[in-house]
Amino acid sequence: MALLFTLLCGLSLSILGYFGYFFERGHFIHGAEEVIDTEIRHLTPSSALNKLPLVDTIAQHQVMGRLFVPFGPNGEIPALLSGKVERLKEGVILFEHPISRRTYAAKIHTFEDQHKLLVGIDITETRREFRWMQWLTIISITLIIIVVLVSYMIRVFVASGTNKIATTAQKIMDTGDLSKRLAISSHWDDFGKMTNTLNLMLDRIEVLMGGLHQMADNIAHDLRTPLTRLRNHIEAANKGADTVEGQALLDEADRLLNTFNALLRISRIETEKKREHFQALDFRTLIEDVIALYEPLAEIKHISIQQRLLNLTCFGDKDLLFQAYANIIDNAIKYTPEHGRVSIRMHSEDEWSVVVIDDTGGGVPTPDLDKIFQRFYRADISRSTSGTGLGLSLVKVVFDLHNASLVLERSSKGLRFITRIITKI
Amino acid sequence: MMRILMIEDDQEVSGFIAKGLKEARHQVDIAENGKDGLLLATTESYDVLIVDRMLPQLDGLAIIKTLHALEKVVPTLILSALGDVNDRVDGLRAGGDDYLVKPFAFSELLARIEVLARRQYQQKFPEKLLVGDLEVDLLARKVRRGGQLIALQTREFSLLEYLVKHKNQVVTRTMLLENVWDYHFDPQTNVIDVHISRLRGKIDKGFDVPIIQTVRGAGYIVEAND
Repeated sequence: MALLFTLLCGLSLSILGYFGYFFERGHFIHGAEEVIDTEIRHLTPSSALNKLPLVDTIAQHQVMGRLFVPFGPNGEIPALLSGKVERLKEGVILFEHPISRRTYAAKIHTFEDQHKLLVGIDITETRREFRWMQWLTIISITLIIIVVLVSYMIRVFVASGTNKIATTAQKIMDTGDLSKRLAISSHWDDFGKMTNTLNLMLDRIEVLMGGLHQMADNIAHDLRTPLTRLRNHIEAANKGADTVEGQALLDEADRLLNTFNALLRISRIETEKKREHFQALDFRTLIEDVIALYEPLAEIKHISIQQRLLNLTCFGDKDLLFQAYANIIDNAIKYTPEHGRVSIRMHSEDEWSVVVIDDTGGGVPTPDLDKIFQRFYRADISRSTSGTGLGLSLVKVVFDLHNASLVLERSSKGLRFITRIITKI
Repeated sequence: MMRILMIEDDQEVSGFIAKGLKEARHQVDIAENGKDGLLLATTESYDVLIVDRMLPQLDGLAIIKTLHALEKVVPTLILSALGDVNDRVDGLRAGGDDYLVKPFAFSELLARIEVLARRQYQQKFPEKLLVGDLEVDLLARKVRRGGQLIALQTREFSLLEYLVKHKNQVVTRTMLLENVWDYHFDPQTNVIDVHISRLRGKIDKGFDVPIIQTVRGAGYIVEAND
C-alpha cells in the first residue's frame, strides 16, 4: 500500500518535471518566433531594401537586439551563418554571431521579388535563463527521486519495526504467554523508545496478571479447603441421623461449591489459554458421545433428537469441547418443552467443521441474545430450572480458546447455535 | 482392612478423612509434610496412598515420581484443590492412579480408594461375570438374565460392565462418568441417574431382585454373594 503510494508519487512528480521542462522550452521558442514574425510583418520590401544596403558586411545590421541580414542577389547565404547553425523548429534557426558572440534566433523571410532576408533577435539572455531553468528542473527532479527513495526506505524501516511489534503482540494475544518481549533493535531512535515503553508495559501487565493468577490459585486452595471442611462437618453431622434437613444442607453446600468451581474453571481457561492438549479429533464421535449421554434425558421429556452427522475432524481439546457441546445440548434439552424437538446437524464450510444445534424452546428475547453468554445470565422462564447459570459462559470461553466461532440466532421455534471449529491445524 | 498412608498438611481435612476411614475399619497413618510422607512410604508397606498435591517441603507429584523411580509402586490417589482438567492429566501422568478434587464427599473418596486397592489383586477379569442370575459376557458383549438375552446399547453395556466388575463396591456417579465416557467433564444435569434408571428398566424389569442398588448420598452398588 505504502509502496504503491510512493511509486505513484514519484511517477507523477517525474511527469510534472518532464512537462515543465518541455513547456518552458516550447514557450521560449514560441516567444522568439513571435517577435521575429512581428518584425517581418512591419517590413515592406522597399523599406527593407532601402534601409539595408545589399552589402554583406557584418555587425552593421543590428538595431536594438534585432538583426537584419539580406541574402546575396542570387540567394547567397550570408557569411555570418557560416558557423554552427541549429534548427530550433520548422523555419526557425539558432546561431551564434561570430563577432559579438551573442546568440540569435532567426527566420529567413523571402520577399515577393525573391530576395531573402534573415531576421533575427538576440536571445542570449533568454537562453541563459532557459539553461538555468533546465538546470533547476534537473536538480528538482533529482531531489524528488531522492525524496521518493528516502521515503521508501523509511517506510521499509518503519514497517519492519511495526510488523515486528505486531507479530510479537499477536503471539502474546494468541498464546497468552506474557513472558515474551519485543526485540529492541536500536536504542537511539523513536522505535527503540517505543519498544522499550511497550516492554515496560508488558512487564507491568505480567506482574498484575501473575498476581491475579496467584490470587485465583490461592482462592482455590484457601477457600476450597474450608469449604471442604464445612461440607465434611455437615456430612459428619448428618451421618447418624440422615435427616431430610441434613441432606438439604449438603445439597446446598454442593451447589455452592459447584458454582464456585465453575467460575474458577472459566477464569482459568480464559487466563491460561492452555493449548497443550490440543489434538486432531474425530468430531463425529465426539458429537455422537455427547448425544448418547443426553439422549435418555431427552427421552424422559419425549423430545425427539434429530441428527445428521458427517465424518468430520476438528482440532482442539477433547475434554473441553465435549464439555462445551454437552452444555449446549443440555441447555437445548432443558429449555425445550415436552414433545419438542432438538436437532443436531453437521456440515463443512471450507476449513471449518460446522455443527448447528436447534431447539424448540421458544428462544430468548432478541435483546437478551448477547447476554446469554454472560456469567449468571438466565432467561426469566428458567429461574425455576436448576443450574448455575454458568454453562453457556463456559461454552463461550472454550470456543474463544479454540478461536472458533459461536453464533446464536433466533429460529422460528427456538434458539439456534451455529458452531464452527477449524478442521485441522 | 487396608493400610492407608495419607500425606496431607491440613489437619482438619486429614482428621476428618482418618476418622471416616477408621469407621470403615481401615488403618490410617498420617504424614503432615512431603518429606515425612516419602520416608514413611518408602519404609513401610501400604495398600493405598492418599497424597495432597500442595505440600510443605516436597510436593505431592514429586513424591509419586520418586516412589516410581524407586520402583515402590503403590496405588495412589491424588487429592488437590487444583481442579483443572490439565492438572488432572499432569497428576495422572506423574504416576497417580486417580485424582480427586477438593472439596469431595467422603463417600466418593472411600469408593475410589477401595476400587484402587482391590485393583492390584484383580487385574484380570474372567470372560463371563456372574451376579445372581445375571450373566455378563465381556467377550461377546452380551447380557443374559435368567438365561434370557437382554439387548443393551453400547453405553448401557459399559455402565453395567463397570458396575459388575466392581461388584460389592460403591461406585460413584463421577467414577461412572470418568470410566464409561472417557471424557473429563462436569455434567450440568444428573445424566448418570437417568442412564442408570434406563439400564435398570432393561435388566430388572420382570425380576424380583434388583441388580443395581442405590447408595444414598454416594452412588450405586451391585451386590453379589460369591
